[in-house]
Amino acid sequence: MAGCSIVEHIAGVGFDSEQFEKARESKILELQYRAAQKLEKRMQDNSQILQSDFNLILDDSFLNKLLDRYENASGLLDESTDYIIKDIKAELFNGSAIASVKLSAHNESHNVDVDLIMDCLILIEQEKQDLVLKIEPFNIAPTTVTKGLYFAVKETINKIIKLNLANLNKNLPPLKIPLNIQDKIIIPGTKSEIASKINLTINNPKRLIKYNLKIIDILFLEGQIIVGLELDKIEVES
Amino acid sequence: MNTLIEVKIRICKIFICSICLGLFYSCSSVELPTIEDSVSKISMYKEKLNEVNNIINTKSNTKFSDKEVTVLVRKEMINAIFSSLSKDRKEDLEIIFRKTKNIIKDDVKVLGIEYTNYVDIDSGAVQLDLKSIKLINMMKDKISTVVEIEGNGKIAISAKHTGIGASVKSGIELYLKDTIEFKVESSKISEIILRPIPKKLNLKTKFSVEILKWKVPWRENIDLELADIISPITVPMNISTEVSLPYPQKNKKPGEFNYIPYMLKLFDSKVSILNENLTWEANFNIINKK
Repeated sequence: MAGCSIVEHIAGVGFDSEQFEKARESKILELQYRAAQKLEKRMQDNSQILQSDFNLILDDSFLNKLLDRYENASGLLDESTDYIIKDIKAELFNGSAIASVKLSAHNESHNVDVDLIMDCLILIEQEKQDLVLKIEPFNIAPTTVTKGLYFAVKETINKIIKLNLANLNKNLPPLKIPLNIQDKIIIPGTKSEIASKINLTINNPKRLIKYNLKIIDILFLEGQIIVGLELDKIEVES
Repeated sequence: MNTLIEVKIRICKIFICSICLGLFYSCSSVELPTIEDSVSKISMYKEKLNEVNNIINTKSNTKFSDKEVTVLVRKEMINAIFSSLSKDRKEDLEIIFRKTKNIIKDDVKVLGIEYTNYVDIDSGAVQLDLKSIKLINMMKDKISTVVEIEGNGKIAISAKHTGIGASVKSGIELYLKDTIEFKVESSKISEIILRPIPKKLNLKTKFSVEILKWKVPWRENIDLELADIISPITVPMNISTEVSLPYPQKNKKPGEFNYIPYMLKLFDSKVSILNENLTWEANFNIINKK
């Protein structure tokens, strides 16, 4: 019985949380800095923001309201580890957007419960008429262990971090947001009978202005995303 | 005997510990920087990031709106859309002349006999070409444009001169150049409405015809109500009304997802003109479509 106490003693302490936390903070800051540096260089060449024909500005709450829908979503990290998303929050910085996903993972074969935090880069691209949000995990770190023996915890964490980081984006497919931005304007037709010095009937036929917008620029600034679009094609139909 | 058992137990403990330690170290560990290394990098990147952010924030003057979604449409794009209306077609507007009596009337006395000379328009049609529509100003809640329209057509005229009647067809020219203003409004269902501000437009009309050796030059400025020509224009702002979000599933393989449809509902919209940009702002909710 006394021997069990050795194992109990070390249960749930399978990692140095401070070391992970600091490494994570450093990695995120480095990424933010590199992205901000690129943006600053770009702005040196062309400091004009919002020079596109059509600018769509999304507040960070736009992203977060979409991402909130993933709270309590579950899935598999691998065949023996399932997870549930406890919280997901995106922050917009100058040059980058980072989402932090808090996961509770359970490894069935080692009977380990571990809370993880996964940091992801948010990329925005255009696919045809859709605005596509891609979430690319770049960092995963354990935060707390709620159940499991030392060696099992360590192995589970190692496995998740070392083996799964590259595959995690398979769990995070692109979010497609159809960008049906007012691509047609109807000019209503009129017909007026005028009785004046000259009796006239004026026919102004209905017209449909159809146009396409294409994304030419996506800019991350503090607290907002700016999607710059330009007029690609415009035609008028009767 | 008890001592022997205790010794055995201690040997067992040491053995178990050795196995555990062996297992710990046999696991490949994640290579993490030391806390000191990370703390030093954090301090360095924070300082550099502050510097860069200050430069960017000064240049970008970032906060454009308090709403969650903002659309800024530049003057050039609105001009391009307006201009598209004047391209490609020559028949933008049709004016039909209906029977109008006595567009010219003249009472004369010839050899003591009184006559009423007159000209009637019997019918006619003119196809008008929208030559140009140019945005000239965007201020407060108004968009001002200059519109130029012209066209030629035929009219049928009947006339009576000194008691003798005749009919003839003549060419007619119409021309209009005027300022048209639109008030910019927001509707409750996420639309921008361009409402023409009522005014009278001046349509210049002229024809010249010789009928019964009577030369009839005719010019007339016809007042038209703008509302008779242009109705309010509605520009829908349906930015992504529906989105399907993919969800990974425990009982599915990685890469297989369930898609759940949601509606993006825009509300609380307002429209204004700011620095020559048409600015439309709104908040939004995301609601389950099922």
